[in-house]
Amino acid sequence: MINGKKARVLFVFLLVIIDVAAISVLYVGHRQMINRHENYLSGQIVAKSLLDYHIGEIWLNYIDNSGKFSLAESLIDFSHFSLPGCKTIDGATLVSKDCLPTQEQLSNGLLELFGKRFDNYITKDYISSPETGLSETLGDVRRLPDYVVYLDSGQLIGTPEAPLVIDTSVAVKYQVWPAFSVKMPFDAVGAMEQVFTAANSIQDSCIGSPDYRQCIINGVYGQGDNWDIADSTSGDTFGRFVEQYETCLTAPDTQCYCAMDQGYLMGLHQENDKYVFSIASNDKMVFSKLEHPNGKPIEQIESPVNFAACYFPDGDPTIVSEIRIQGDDYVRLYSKENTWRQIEAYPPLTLIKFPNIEMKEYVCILTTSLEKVAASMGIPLVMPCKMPETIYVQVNTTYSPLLYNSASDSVKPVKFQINMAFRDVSP
Amino acid sequence: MNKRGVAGWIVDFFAIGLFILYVVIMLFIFRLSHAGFNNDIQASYEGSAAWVDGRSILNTEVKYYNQNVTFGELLVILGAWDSSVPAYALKYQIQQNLTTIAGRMDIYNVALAAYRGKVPFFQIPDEETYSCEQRSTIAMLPPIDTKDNLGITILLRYCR
Repeated sequence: MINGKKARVLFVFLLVIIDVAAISVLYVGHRQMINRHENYLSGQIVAKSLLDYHIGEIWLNYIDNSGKFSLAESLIDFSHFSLPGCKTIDGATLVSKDCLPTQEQLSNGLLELFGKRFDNYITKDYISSPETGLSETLGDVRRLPDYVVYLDSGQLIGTPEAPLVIDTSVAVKYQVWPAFSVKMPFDAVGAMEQVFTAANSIQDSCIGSPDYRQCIINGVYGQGDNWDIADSTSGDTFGRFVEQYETCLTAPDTQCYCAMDQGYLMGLHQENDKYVFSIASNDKMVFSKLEHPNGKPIEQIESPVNFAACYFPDGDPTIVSEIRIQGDDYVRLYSKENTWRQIEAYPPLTLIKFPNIEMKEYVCILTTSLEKVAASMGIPLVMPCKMPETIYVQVNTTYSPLLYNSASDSVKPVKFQINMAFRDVSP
Repeated sequence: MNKRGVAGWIVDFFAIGLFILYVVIMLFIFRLSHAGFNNDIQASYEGSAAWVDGRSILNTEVKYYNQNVTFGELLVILGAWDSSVPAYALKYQIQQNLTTIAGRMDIYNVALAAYRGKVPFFQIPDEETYSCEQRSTIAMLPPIDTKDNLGITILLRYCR
């Protein structure tokens, strides 16, 4: 029989044994837990998660800014975008009944332009960082996911096709969903649709009008202050110069002349007094802008029209493979047939258009009087070619984002401006 | 109290004391295992504050060409500038804007370095000799131009 004293001693003895065993077991278990979860217990996981969060924020900020820059660039591109069914003349959209883009076509056009711009920003080349210790913390993001973009409620929304993985370590897996939205600065699609609808309405009412130009001018000024007739020498001088040639060449009648606008030649001279136009006609007609008479082309436009280039000295037309035109007060021609030869012509430049004996059509730059040529050719060259009248119109908006300008190599505000051309197509 | 009673109390006291000792040891072990926790968490929160400050600085709105742009965009605009063309006015504006922003945020000794790709294009101040412990942060921004495929990286250091 166990008495009270013995029982007490046994109880205490067992208690001591159990306590020691419990302390030992708990200590061992605790050590194992510490070893297994040391990163958590020391705060490293919390610190890593916080860092991952901030790295995620850096990329989200990068994507938001990419979306913002891309939208500004694509909106400016959109203002002179080649719209479905529309023909472009020297950067201006030719108003015609075939050129009435729907809202869907316009939206798709804008999204297509945006997609091209935005895609630049999510390639690995853009995502580089300097060799600094801090840059290593940016993680191993080398390619952002592809995106689906759409317009909704005045916003351009980009939805990624996959999450952006920031951390794939054993302890922490961190990824973000890098969707973005950019507020449309104005309803560009609606504005474009409205402008083309109004332009077509003006064109419809002016076709067949006895004074087409005045009719268009009245129609344009009737649209409000932001519609304006464009200055004939504004914009791309070279493009307008070529356009003028093409218009003359494609005029339906022959044995006629076209008086060329000296303003384009003057405009080019003002850009840089060394600039030279070149017209070459080997297989096809190629117009070039050259740095100087012996220089290389810096800009070229190929024309589908096929005429022989020539100049007209006192007698018969002299056909040459290339004519170079330099002009300020007078026109200096450089013609190449085996060797370069310099001829002087007096402004304004006049083109004469006539079929030769082989019925091939020639277009010659006149270097002598029109009457003299007409007399020597025995043809009535005194009639001007019937050229379709083209009126350029600008529609301005208040939107002018800051964009990179390659000419000045700096960032400046660029106006969102819709350029249109009205052409008299009445028979 | 007789001797037996005293011995009983001693035994009880020993048993209870041992139990308390067990609890104290457990707390001590737990305390030891968390020794670095506070320091690490404190450091990461301070680092975290620097990232937040960095974003605040870059997202602060400033004026350029009479338009609202962020301070980060102003650096991106400078990054698009041809290095052969002086951009004194813009650099001066950036410096002024940064001073104003720092004043508003109650930070000082702010140093900023901007890189296009790996090439530095802007740094203020030219030489850094600060006695205070600077916090540092980094940011990535896309270029505004597409003349090359290089992004803009901005390193910021400051004291608070």
